Amino acid sequence: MKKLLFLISLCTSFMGVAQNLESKIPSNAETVISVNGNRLLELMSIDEFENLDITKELFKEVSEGKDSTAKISSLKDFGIDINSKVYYFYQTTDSIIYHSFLYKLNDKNLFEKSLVKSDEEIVRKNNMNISTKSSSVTIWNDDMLLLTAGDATFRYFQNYEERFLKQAENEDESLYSIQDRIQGGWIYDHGVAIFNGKESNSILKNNNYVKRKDDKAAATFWINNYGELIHNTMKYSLTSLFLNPNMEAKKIGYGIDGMWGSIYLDDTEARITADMEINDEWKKIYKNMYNSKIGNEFLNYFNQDKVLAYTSMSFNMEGVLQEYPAIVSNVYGGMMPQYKEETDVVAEVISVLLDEEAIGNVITGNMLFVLNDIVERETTYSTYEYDDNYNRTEVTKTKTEPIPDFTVMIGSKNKKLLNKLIRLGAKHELVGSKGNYYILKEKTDIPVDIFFAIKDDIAFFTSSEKQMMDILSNKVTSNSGKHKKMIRNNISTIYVNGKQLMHKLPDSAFSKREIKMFNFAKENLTDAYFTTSRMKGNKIHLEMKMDTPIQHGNSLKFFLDLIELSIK
Amino acid sequence: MYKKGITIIILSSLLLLTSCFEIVEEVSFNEDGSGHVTLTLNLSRSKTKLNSIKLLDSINDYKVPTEAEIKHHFAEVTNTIKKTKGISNMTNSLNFEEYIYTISCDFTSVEVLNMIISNFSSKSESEKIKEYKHFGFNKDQHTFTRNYHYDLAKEFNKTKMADRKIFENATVTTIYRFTDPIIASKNTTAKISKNKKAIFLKINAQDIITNKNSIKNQIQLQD
Repeated sequence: MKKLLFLISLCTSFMGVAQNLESKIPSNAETVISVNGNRLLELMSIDEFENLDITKELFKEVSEGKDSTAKISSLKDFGIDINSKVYYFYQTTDSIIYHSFLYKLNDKNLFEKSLVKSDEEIVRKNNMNISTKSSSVTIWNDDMLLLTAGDATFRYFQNYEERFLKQAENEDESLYSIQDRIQGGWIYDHGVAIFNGKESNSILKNNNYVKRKDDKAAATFWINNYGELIHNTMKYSLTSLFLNPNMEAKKIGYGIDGMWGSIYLDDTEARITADMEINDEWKKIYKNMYNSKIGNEFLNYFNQDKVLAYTSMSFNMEGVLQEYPAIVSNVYGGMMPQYKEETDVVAEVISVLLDEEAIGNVITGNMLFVLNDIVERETTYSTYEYDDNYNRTEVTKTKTEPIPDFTVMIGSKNKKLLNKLIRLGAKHELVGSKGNYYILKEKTDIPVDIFFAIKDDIAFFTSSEKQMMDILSNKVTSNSGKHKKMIRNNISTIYVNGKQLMHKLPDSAFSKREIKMFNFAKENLTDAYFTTSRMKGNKIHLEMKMDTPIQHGNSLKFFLDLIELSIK
Repeated sequence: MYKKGITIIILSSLLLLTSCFEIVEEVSFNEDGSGHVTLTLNLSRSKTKLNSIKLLDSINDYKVPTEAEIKHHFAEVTNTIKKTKGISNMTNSLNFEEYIYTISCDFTSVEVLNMIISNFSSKSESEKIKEYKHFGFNKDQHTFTRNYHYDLAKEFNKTKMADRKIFENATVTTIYRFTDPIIASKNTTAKISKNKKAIFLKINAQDIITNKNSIKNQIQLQD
């Protein structure tokens, strides 16, 4: 059965769709993950998949655990229907966490031959074949395979120690072994109940789940309530020792209720999307915090042809500071309701001390960080020279090193105050004036000079003096192209021009082992984005997108080629 | 969060820089077998990278030590050496700008050096050091031996891939000076000085680790 777990973790990719299988997922599942075998088979044939080194390794692993007669050489040998979806779902109660996997079988005998150990005890009853372990149960019939694993919380057993000790089979049985025994029974009952579950009690009756499904995706995930998921998971973790068990689920998880997403694998791109539903209590907070937009003035200094990577962030500093007490109260008060009053007071005091509007004027909350280039810069180092008699002299030599050239733009409306600060810095010799811009004199450990200036309600910091002069003399070509929308319409965008970036990095930066991966990245990487949208209605949309080169066939094949290369 | 993002981008590009360091072991012997030893660890070529690492809390799952922690640890090491019988005129330097660390002292015999290595080793290692002396000076036969018992290839294979990169461009140099001229040396990579009284050996750490070469040597001096 260990091999079965191994198979499940490695081979979740190639299993497929069956409505009746999905109907077995109980309506109280907190999280559901599905992998769409149909979609994956459209992208890659079974033959191609079987020819991968990782697949061959998997076959070898499984075969080695079996009798010599049961060699695995094909996916079909597992008896699992590879034209079907596979599901994982997560459930919790006050005492135990359940993880379950559902597969469609098309050949029960092959499944037993390949994945069930010959000495494994199988109970066959009521059209079910059942194999039990202390923390898992595997149940299958001709069509379906269910694996349920459980993890009971010892804290629960401690809380009801007296009751459980009464159930000891003998005087010496410890609470741990009682838990082990009882948990085994719970898992067994739970597995059988799922296996025989009725459609009326299925997740398919949950409209919230059904409407989020997307059959075009290669894989999907759905979380019923993020706050509750965190809340329930925290109860089982070590953190629970410091938290009040009565913490409010609604208050933690930053107001995120439902959360769902998909992985799309297409011919020239891979995309991961996620949507978060914000509850009413937090909706106002988010609205106030992100009620801001990066202005066009930032884009005047943005040239997409001279960008290796950038990150943008747009929030309303005044709004963030105004909402700070509510956030502290909600998050920490929610986690530790016994200290709610204290956390409220602390948050309130901070709020009284801060002048939100004034701070919001100094730092508006709009920021754009651009990695313009990676340049070779000369640096010095100390080493030794030896004379004919090997007497040592310390000498200074130079070498070139790749150093990032970057520009940071931070929105600020209080030029007067910033100028005062700069003058103060100059007085204390922390900054030096270069005419209409300044240089940071305070020695930093990073071997770059930092130049800065204030212009157009933006504080510019850059490692390139030329860039600073171009900014001040309006010589930066404004060319934001496709990035304009991404920067302006999202709370945050991270972009990496993989191709350019890889070509800027020297081979010497990588070890002999890493160089093949580096060369693969250099040849194949293109654009990658990660965006977080503004809240629309009560939803925030996150998207991670990566372009993949067409010569690999499609994005699935690209990633598998990458994995194959990394394990060689 | 944003600041962290920026720091990560800047740092990750700097952390790609190759690491490079050199270790120099320099021993000058007097006629009676006593002498002066200087051990130098020079990380200056990696200073940009180290400056970047300093800004991190941890790297490759190792906690990045603060300057104070390094000083404290260094002081512990020097105190242990100082307490060893036969050691005198101990000096040390910590250059945090260039990342060069040096310890030097006088010793009465090579046995004192073996004792120091033993003091920094586990019990079982100490036993082995007694057997495979790291330093040997035979006045009767006029030989000097540099040895060690570690199977560095084996130890190296236990390390994480990410850690191995550190040794790719590292070097180890040994310089030994004698009052009598050197006639021969067993390690063919070692070079004898013009005045015949010093011997120099510089090896890539990678070659030591893969057992292609070592700092082991046996030096024959003139009667």
